[in-house]
Amino acid sequence: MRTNEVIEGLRGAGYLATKEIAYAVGGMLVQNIPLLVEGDPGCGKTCLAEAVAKMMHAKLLRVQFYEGLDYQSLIYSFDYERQLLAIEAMRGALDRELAGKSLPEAMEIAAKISFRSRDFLIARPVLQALEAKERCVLLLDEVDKSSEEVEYILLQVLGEYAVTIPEIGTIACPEERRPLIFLTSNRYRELSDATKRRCSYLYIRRKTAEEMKEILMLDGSIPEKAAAWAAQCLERMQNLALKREPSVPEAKAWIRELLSREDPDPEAGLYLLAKTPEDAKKIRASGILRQMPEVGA
Amino acid sequence: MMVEILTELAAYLQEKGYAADVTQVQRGLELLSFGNTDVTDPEEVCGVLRPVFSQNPAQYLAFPEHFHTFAVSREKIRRNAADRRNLEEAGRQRREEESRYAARRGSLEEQLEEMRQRFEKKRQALEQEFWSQNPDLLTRADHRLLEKMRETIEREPVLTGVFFGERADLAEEAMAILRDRAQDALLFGDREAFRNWQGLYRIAQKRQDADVVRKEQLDRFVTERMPEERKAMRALEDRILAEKRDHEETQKNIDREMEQLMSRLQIKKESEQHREVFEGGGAVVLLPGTVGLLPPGMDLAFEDLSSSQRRQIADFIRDNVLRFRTRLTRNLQTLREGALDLRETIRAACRTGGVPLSLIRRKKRPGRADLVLILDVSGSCQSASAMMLTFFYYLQQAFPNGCRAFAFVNSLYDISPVLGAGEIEKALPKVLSMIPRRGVYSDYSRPLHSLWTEHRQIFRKDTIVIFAGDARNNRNPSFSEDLKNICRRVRYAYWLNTEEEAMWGQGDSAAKACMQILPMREVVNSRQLSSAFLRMVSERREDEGHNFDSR
Repeated sequence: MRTNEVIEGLRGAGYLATKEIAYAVGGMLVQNIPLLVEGDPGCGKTCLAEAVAKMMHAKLLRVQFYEGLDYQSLIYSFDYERQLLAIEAMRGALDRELAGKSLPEAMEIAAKISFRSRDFLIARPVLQALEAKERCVLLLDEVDKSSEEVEYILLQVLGEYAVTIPEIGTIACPEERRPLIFLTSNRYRELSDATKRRCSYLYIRRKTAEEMKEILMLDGSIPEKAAAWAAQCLERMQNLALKREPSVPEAKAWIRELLSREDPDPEAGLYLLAKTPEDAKKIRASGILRQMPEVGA
Repeated sequence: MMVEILTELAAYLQEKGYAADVTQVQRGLELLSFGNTDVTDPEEVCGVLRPVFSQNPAQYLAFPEHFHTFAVSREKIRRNAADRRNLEEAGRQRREEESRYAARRGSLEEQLEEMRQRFEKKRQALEQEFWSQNPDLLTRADHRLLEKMRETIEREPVLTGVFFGERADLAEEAMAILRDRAQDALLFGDREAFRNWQGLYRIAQKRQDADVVRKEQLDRFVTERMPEERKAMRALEDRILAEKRDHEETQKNIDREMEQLMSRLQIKKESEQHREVFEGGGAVVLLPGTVGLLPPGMDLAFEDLSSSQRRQIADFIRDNVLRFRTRLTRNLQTLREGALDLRETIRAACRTGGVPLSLIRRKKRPGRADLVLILDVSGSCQSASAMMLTFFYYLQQAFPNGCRAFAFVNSLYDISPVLGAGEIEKALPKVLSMIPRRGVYSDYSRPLHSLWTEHRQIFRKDTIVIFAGDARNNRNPSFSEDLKNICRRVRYAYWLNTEEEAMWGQGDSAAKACMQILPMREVVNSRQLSSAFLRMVSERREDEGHNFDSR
């Protein structure tokens, strides 16, 4: 896919991609190397994965990372309840089967029973992605929120698109069905070098006013004038050293709220933009929101 | 070709701190070869390689610049090499031209010489012929006189030359002599001698006049008789001249070209060195696991740091605080499954007819790593406190909700709101100004007591406490009881002592007493600061016996 085609494709999926993003995604489509996406909150990391899934008409499997996430909810686990039920169900049959058998014979029969076989395996999102019938998009969201150990668990997946389960063996994904893996991070902590080495890297920088305007207008619900003004406000807010800069989705909600009101007062919608009292104070004091032009459709 | 370029780029990027390794070169190569990349467009190549080689925002943002610098210097180097080759080629051409010309000229000159000799021989023959056909213009009387005077004449070489040789050019001189002689003769009254001399004078005059005419006649005579030879000789002479002009023109062109190349090569010296730097080494400069390249001044004591060094170290701390954070929390957020809670499991099994359908595990320890930082900013720790504050500032940024910072001289101030609020340039002076320090001596017992009594709730099982100060209590009441209480309650506690270890326990220092309670580390420069912080985590186990950890 050429860069322009990627940009067009993503635009069709409702995502406004810069050339940088298009290069990274284009490279990913050619080589199928996981892409680590970093950037400020709200800059469109998660949306990118969603848009790529939409563009490729692929299923999106998403895992939200958090402190304490482990391989059982990430890759696979054994169905404990089913194992128990199976034991319960087999108990009578086994009793009959083993009646009158010597110990070695009984052992031989028992050895044939495995409670850690494929029948009892529950595929969690990562394994689902590897075993999917069609190529899908796997989004590992906010990888930095989990501990480093989780990263190490994922190394085999990121590097070889395979998972090794001691009781079953290695489950590898065929080359043509390899999922497109996105990792996102807010740099809450630095990811390990091992992870980084297995990924391409994309840093989504702050949007310019022009880009923000286009994004706001993308779904057609916000008229150009309003979008331009909102984008301008957002850009000016970037200079206020806010604790939590408002992102595009927040701005979208805010401007929609304004448009829906009879008598729009931009400061009344401040609760949608500022996420700390200090930030609200700063925005109010800066007077950015005061001069609202006629933004109606 | 592409492999070569990418390898060089990787080496160059390594110099710049990128972890560019073989895998990445390979990936880049694949992308450029199999993707739809227009490899002639540098912008596109840069865009495609950027995600491959970058690993963090700084690297990502700086990549185009590095790429551009690399491309330009590589282009220069390539041109440079070509120039060098051209220069050598030009030198070779010049030498070749020289020898070719010498050979050609040599043969031509030989021909000319030969021709000249032939010509000369013929000319001599012709001259003789001419002379025999054209006797001079003297009368018989003149000849007689000459015969008569031969003896006298032969005594004078000049006269001999004029009268018996063909030296018409000496006629003037001869005539002067003859005039003198004639005058002498006149004075002595020798009429005959006078007449003779006069006669000779006239002959000399005739000779002189005739000479020009005769020479012309001779030339005409010779030319008429050997026109071919003359023409050939002249043509040959012209050829030699043309050859020489040609040669000089060629040489000049080559020289000009060489001069240009030379000047360009001299300008490029710098880029050559640059290439040597990044090509020569080629060694993998991977960032060390914990920190990037250390800024200068890491080993200087805090008070010896210049302001620019302070700034550099502050930047360094900022850049690495994320890594600190990873290290620090690594041991706290483990995947360790909570232990099976048998009591609860059995209780649950009762509901499922005795089958333990759901296993109940103990709640895992939440992987939080709350930090409490306590800093002595008294005069004795002044130089260190700015650096420590910088360190604390970035720690606070990295643990936005899990960090409390206190500072004191003799009473306790909660500085977390200030550190957490704004930029470091504003925050640090604000902290230092909000705590009265003039005329106040450090007192550890009061602040620690208020810490324990008023802020007990912040010391939890997962808290990490870091004290920073020189432990000089100015003979105030002992504070070890409060210190013990705090250390007992928290997970880990450390003391970073801003005084040299040799001074610990001397005078009013309570360092030795504190060491009984918690591990203490000397931190008088930035290197010690960073390593102490990293070691806090790794040495935890050894310290555990030491620590009043009540788990």
